[in-house]
Amino acid sequence: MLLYQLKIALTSLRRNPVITSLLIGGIALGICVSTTFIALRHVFEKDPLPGKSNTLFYVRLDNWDPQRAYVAEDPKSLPTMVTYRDMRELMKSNIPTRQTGTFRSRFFVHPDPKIGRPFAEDVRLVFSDFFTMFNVPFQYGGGWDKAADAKPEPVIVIDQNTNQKLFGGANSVGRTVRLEDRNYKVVGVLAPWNPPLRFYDPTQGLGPKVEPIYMPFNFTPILEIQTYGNSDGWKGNDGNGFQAFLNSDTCWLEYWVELPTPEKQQAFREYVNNYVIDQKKHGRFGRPLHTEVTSMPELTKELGVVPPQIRSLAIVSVLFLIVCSLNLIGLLLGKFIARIPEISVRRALGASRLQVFWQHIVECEVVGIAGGLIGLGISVGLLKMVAKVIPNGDVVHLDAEMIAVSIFLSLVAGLLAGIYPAWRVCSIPPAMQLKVQ
Amino acid sequence: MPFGPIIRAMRHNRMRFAFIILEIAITLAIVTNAVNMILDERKKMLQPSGFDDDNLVSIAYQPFAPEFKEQSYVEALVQKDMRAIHSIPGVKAVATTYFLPWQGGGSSGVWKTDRFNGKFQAQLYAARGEIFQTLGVKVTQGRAFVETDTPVDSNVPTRVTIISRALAKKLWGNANPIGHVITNGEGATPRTVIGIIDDFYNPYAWNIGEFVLFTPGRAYDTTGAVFLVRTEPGAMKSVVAQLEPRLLSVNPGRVFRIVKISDLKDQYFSGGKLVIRAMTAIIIILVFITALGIMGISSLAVAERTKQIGTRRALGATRADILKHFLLENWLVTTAGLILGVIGAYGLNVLLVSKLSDVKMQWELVAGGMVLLWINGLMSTVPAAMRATLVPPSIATRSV
Amino acid sequence: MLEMTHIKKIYRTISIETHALEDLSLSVKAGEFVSVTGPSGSGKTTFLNVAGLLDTFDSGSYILDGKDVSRLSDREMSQIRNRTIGFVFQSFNLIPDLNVFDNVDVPLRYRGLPATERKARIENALSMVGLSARVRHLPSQLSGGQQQRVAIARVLAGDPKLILADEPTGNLDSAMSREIMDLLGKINDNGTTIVMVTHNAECSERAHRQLHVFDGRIADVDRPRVVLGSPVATPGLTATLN
Ligand SMILES: Nc1ncnc2c1ncn2[C@@H]1O[C@H](COP(=O)(O)OP(=O)(O)OP(=O)(O)O)[C@@H](O)[C@H]1O
Ligand SMILES: [Mg+2]
Repeated sequence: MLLYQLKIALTSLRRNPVITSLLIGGIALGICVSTTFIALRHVFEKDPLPGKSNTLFYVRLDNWDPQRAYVAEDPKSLPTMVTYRDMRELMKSNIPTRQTGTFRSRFFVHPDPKIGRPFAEDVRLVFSDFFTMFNVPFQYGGGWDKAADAKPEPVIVIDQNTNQKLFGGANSVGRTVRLEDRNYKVVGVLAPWNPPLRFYDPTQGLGPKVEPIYMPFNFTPILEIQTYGNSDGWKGNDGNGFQAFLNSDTCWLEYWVELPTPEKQQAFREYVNNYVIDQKKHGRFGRPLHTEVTSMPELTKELGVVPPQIRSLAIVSVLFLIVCSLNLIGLLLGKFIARIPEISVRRALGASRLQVFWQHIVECEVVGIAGGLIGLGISVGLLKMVAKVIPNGDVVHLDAEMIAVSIFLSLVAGLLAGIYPAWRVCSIPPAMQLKVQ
Repeated sequence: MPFGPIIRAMRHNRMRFAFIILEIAITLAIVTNAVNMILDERKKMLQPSGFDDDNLVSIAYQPFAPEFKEQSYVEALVQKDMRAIHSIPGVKAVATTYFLPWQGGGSSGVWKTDRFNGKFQAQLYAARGEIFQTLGVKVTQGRAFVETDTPVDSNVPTRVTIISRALAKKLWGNANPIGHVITNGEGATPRTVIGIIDDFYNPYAWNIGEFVLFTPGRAYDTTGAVFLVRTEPGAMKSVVAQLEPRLLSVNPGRVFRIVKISDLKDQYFSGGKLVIRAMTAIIIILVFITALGIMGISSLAVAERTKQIGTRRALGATRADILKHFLLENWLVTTAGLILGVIGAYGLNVLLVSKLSDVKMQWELVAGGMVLLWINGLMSTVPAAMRATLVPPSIATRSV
Repeated sequence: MLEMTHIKKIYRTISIETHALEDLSLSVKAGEFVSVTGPSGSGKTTFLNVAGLLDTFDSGSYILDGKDVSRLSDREMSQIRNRTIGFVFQSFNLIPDLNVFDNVDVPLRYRGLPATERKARIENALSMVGLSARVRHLPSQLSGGQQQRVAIARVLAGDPKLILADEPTGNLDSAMSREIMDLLGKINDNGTTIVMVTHNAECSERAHRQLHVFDGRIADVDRPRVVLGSPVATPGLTATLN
């Protein structure tokens, strides 16, 4: 039956190519605009770690100025990062199955002079759990172990580009790289890894890419490594020097914990609160008790990593699609009404009301799919244009999920446009009406 | 004109009109919100920084040679570097500063002062050299920095500051700001205001884009330095080409990063530009599509009612009456759509407005959008309505 | 009331010229009830169109209610249709989207009468055709005869001097037809001139005078009742021409 209806639909569409192309064009227009902006939003808002992100939690403590909230107008606000000393203390807990404090710095890489001049490169300082927690993909080797964390051992993980630059893309595990005045042993080389957002660093927003080099966090106090990211302070350091900075109330670290079960989440929240209550006794944390242990999806939403304009464009483009398909109702109504004589004959020949209805819905869906495919094609081009305009645009593309969404939208658009006209024609009585008009 | 019968007659085709009403309503909602967003982005873009953006370029170095570990070496080198940059033809002024216009942030702190209740937040940048000539802002009150303002010992805090007019206004109103003292949040590191610069704007969170303190501090240390260079108009290209070679000849043990402020600005506004372009396109296409839709529906309405039009003509309707009938019918539909659209416009606004950048819908915009769509609606009905006036009255006696 | 002389009407399409009215002359006095019969395609409807100013004619002269209407603007013609003439159509021509009341109201609206007067006229007209109870009905909710009675009420409400009817009973059964003819007769008794095209012999009988159209010309078949002057002899026809 469906095949037969498809055949009739195609015949009917071929009969009036002008109207058919107008219909397809209308859907294509709506689909290309909506797909483009939904895809843009999807790229930046989709879950970077499906199935896992709900178990990863970001820790924040309100250690800010007792007289003034972190965002002065919003007393509920709290710093987006944590202090070195708090991270150290909290990491003593064994409630999280994995955890890492982390920040970004910048080092000089000294390659073999035959290869080139030294160059500065972003380096992320992490604990070994980082690689497992964030599903970092490896081409060669892997992360380092807990022993390397503790000591710390001079080991690093480099990304594919750096490996290409330094070792011509060969398996470089076991070879050494000189950063500033020390040599580090390569333990892992990343597979291509280009998430649209540096999702483990919610303070950066759109734009920056993942770092090319990773090294053990515990080098920080030894080498007095300074952050190359944000640091928020409200109070001077007690004394001079790096140790005074580490002991200060300046927030500059991201601290992630993995809490797979609600029990662990509950336990860890209590642990963090107890820590802060205890610190209050030592004269710190002058503000009301406020700690946040936030899951990754909630955090992304809360910190608004994705610019609000991208969300607005997506909403507006969906409404645009609705207007496009509403617009086709008139056209379809005209087309179907012109067909009333034919339909009443079909009805007289035994086509049921439902069959007539489906017949026309099938026809609209054929239009919807055709328009959807064309629109999808156009949106690939549009996305290329958009990618040129925005920072870090090369991550913008259509994935399978978006293609499915787009096809689904074109089906909905076809249905939206067709359902009323189809209902109108299927309510035509079988014989010609006797009453004039 | 007979409203009553027209409305009663329209009820029989209410589904069809309902779709058009919905379409017009959504169109109004989108158009007003899109224009609102465009205006908002434009306002941000048109906000002048107060600087000579197009002729500014920043060059930062990071050293790897061992001699840079000595602060005294760096101290002398930075002076040499500045002289080297100055000697490039086409360079107007140079300074070292961590301030980078249009990077969408910078550094800031929390401060206190007399006669201002509580603490306030403002941007803070250390700068040495001809910082204000370089930026292209004027010191309109008090004086600019002199060499002796910078303490010889880099561990000694600076004692003076030059602030923006907007910050002076916020702190002391119209009173003379020169001589007032600003301290940090704990009341330490007092700095006396010695000068006021006019027109400073660097976008920053917390709405402190116009509030700044400049101090005559060092924007360099053993880990590197940043120079901001202002060129003569048109000299940017040649200056950029010579910056790195010149500084390499002073000391090759370092790497450089050159950023044109105009590029930073472009990048900063890339999202805004995307919004403006996309929204403009959407508005144009949408108004066009809605016009097509109304044309389609109205010609369908006319085609379907040929007999009825003929009858009306036979019963004494003039061509003008027929024209009026269709225009009025459309006007009713459009108006209903627009009324619904006003609700939609405000509703969508609420949906789109985020906590951070609340761009409230302005009623002028809604009114403007209504007028636009009214005209659009009427114009789109005219072709079909004109066709209706051409229906001959003799249609009435023709058998179907 | 109606005075046509040597009216000619030619329909031109790309390939064919149809001489729908060929030198038609006719005079109808005020208060007459005239029926027009003739074979299909002979030009009855065309004649009615011209008479009702629904269509123009190519040559000849036409004086309606003492006024030369051969060279009027569309606007003036609309006004005459609205005030002087009432139409009853074979297919009723009610406006399907409007209820009975609003349908009767249509010509009155174009005349620009005040609301109270319109209401009075509509109610009066509907009571005359016996449909006062059906004001809120839609045409599709009425039988054919009822629809035609609404159409007649639409005419009555306008109080025209001349009623033109094109096969008013063509779509109705004989009982209904009789009812409609009774109505028209009553209206004529009140002094309204009626010209009616019909195929139906019985209906035709009701008229004072019966005209026959043949090949675009008119013949008066009701010899005993001939009252009209200015006879013009036309060869080939069996009756006196007007
Ligand atoms: N709009 C038109 N264009 C071309 N020819 C027309 C048109 N209207 C009528 N005719 C032709 O004019 C002639 C007279 O037609 P008319 O409708 O007056 O006939 P009629 O007497 O009313 O017939 P019937 O009894 O079947 O209704 C016919 O030959 C017809 O084909
Ligand atoms: Mg006829």
